[in-house]
Amino acid sequence: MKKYKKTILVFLLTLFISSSVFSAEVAEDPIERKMLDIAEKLRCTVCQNQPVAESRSELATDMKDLITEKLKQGRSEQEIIQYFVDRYGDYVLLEPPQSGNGALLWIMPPMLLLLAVLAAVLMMKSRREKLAFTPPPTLSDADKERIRLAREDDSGKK
Amino acid sequence: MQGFINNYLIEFGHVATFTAFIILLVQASAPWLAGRLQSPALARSGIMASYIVLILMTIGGATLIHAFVVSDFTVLYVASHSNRELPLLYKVTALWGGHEGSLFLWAWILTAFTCLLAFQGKRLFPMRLPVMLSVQACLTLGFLGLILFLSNPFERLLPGAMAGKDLNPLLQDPGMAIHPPMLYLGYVGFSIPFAFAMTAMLTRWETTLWIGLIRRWTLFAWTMLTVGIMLGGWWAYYELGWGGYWAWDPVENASFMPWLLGTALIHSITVQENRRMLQTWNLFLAISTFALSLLGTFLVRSGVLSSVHAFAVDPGRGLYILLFMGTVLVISFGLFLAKGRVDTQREAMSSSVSREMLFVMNNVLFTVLCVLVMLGTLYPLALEAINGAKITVGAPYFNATLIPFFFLVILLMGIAPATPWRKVNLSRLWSRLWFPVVAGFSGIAAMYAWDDKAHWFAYVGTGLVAFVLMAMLVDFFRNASRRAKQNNENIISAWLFLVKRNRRYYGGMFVHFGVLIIAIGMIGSGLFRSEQVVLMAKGDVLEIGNEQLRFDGVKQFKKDNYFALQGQFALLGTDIVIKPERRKYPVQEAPTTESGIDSSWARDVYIVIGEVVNGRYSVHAYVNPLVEWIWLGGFIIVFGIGWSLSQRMREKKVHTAGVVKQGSVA
Amino acid sequence: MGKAWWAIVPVLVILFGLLSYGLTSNPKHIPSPLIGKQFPIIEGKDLNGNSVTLGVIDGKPTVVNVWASWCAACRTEHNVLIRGARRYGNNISLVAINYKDELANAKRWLNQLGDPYQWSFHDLSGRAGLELGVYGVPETFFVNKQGIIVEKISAPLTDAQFAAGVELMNK
Repeated sequence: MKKYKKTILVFLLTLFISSSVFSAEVAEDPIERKMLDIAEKLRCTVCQNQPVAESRSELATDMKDLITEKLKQGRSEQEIIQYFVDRYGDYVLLEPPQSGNGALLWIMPPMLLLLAVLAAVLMMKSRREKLAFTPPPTLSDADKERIRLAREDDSGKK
Repeated sequence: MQGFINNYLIEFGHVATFTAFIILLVQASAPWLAGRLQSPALARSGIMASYIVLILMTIGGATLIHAFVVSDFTVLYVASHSNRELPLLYKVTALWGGHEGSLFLWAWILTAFTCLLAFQGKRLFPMRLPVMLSVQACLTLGFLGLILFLSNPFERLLPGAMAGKDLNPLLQDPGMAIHPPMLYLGYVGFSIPFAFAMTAMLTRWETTLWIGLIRRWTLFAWTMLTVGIMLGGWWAYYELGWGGYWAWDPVENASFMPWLLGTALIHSITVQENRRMLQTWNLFLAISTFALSLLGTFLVRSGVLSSVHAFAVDPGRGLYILLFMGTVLVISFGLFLAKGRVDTQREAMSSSVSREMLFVMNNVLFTVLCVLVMLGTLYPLALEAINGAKITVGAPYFNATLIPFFFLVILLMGIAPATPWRKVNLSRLWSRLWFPVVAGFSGIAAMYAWDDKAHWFAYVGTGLVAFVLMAMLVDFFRNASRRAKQNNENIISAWLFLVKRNRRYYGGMFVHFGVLIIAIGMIGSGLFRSEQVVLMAKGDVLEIGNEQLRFDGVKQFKKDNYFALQGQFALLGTDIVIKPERRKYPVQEAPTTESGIDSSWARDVYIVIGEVVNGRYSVHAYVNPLVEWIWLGGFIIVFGIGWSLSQRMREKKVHTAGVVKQGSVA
Repeated sequence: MGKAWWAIVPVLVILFGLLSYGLTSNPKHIPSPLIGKQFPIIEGKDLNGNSVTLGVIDGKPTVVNVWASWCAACRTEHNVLIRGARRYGNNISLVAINYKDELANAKRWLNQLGDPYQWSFHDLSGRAGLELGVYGVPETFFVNKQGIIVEKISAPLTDAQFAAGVELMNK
């Protein structure tokens, strides 16, 4: 009986040790990571302003599954994104396209800044000219005489 | 008797609100009628009217809250947004959980502020108060009109519902509970500078005479808006489970636009007080900031834009708000263009580089920022109107285009305090700034040493933050050491004395410091985040960032009005267990998730537990460095404003006399 | 530079025009880029297990309706489809895609409400839907004899829309 007990004990011990080898250190599936990177760039079409990666809707889940499948087939990110754009339009892109419909959006920021700085500088220049400092008129001799007399008057009154 | 009360109490509140509407008509027309009928008493009646209106609106609000607390499901609004099982706190806050009730809160705050204005105005500007109160009354009438005729929270559901529908679980949270009131305090607060601006244009009241009066109002409104926005971001971070706090969603942008212009207004007011310039800008900013508050209200409630935050869609209400907003804007901007561009500036900007010029740049930057946010938010609509195409303008666009502008703002934040008014001596400026510039480049180098593959935002951002921090330090050191030498005390007590005496200035510096802390938090959490999505079985270990997480299974239990499934994640190397949950609220169908977060100043470990796949749980884990600094920065900002506002009576008396002292403790 | 402030006027005009337009538009509607393109070939099974292929046109213009038994709005448009099938009879083909639905539920639905379709493609996974840019139910595609999609309606169909679609298909 003792022999059996020993065997069982050793067996259990081995199982225990190897289980800590089996409860593995998990790492992200690189395909899953790639899928999420793509899903970050696509808009969930039935949600209100959320990327597919963050949405829990059924359509988003279906899209994520399809992306995973295409990645496994070896498609590139560009191809996969284009697949959805061909079927859902530019709307499915979270970042507006840089050409065509979205061109104005990308030009506006630097253009506006330039315009505004220009406007502010011009505004200040014109203001400076308008309110340029004019020196007070110099006193004429007659005026100086009047002042002297007035001063004497005052000191007299004191 | 009890039955009578239960049935008719809410009607009493309804009647009270309607009476308030009638009295507001009097308040609005008082100044004009008084002129016609030559009756000064009639003009002053507006003050009494505003008090009575507040009392009536409070009664209305109280009956609504009562209806929630006793779960009176004969009130349609209560039945749609509450539930007998709901904790008491959320029964009360459910008042603003939906469109009708939140509008009522908006209006109530407006009437409360009007009363405060009346109280202040009786003493400080009695002659113009009637017109001011009339402006406020017109605004309040606009909102009450919408409430009473198109979005009535007092509407009855007879016979009453058996059970309530329950408050949206996302809103059953302390942060979400006070987020709307804070935001509305901000939006409504900006109506006061608006009223001043309108009154100034209607009664020929020179800006110099009242600009100091609105400073505190503006600071208060801005602070409330800041707190509201921060609460929203904080809540989004803790509740929504995507580890972020700002998505550039249209409704978020709707609150950000008045914030941007409000910031410009605050700084612009300072210029006016110190140098009597920028009158026109101040009028424009006072009008526009409130205009954007109204725009925000429109965007959120009309269904025009698609957003996760939007209230239930109703184009009818949207049309009303649009017309109301249109009327307000046409009148106010019309007046502005006709009378507001007053050129009573008495002093020229003396040279191109001076603190005034930097403030003008500041105004320009914030206005451009605001325009860009509006552009991005409305562009999809414009494109659709032109050629029917639909595109999305999402977070990546806003981040890419706006962050460089924020960098410029931070740069200004470092340079301006070192730049004197009027004329700058460039060599003296350099003597104050060369060390900060060195610090800036050191910052860039340090970031590069830490990680040489980061986005360029990280390097520029760190450099700028280091630059401004050092500039602030140099400034404090200069001022404190000067005083320390004069008074023979040590530098710390010298600095403390200055901080206590110059509350306005140092309050502002604290706010800037808070902004820097937020910037640090955003650089860390925005650019250096780690993210992993994995399937885990019990016992599995995940390595993420510098942390290791071991999944120890799940617990299941019932609490309050939901069932929970709670994951147990041990943070290896510590005693901490992180517990994300999936909750099911029986009344609402969709389950919600509660993120499990372990916070420290260095980083947050953030875990969301998902569905079971093949016997393993889907786990979404993030490590967000420095994210808690963002909330810390928010607190510092609020402290700074409080400090600034605590500048005492001496300043108030100066403003009553109508003269701004040059170089006063400003 | 005081004149510069007048720029406010066009800004306000544009803003109001835009927002008024916004009140009339539906933020959830997405125009389809597939209009004018060839209907894709998608192979699969119908509700009875027979092999069918979407996109193969047998000489007649085809109406492709996307429906599901769990979709309340699909009920409201169902009579429109029955009337349309009767009215245009042999001049058009009417087929359907049963989207993300259980076989039993789908069959029961058709039994209860009537089956105007030649067959219903069983798209349990939703893949066919994704292939067609479907983002909600119901949707209806109008495909002409050459296999080109001439119209897509992303809402419950009305009789008027059905008639307009047929006209477009016959052009």
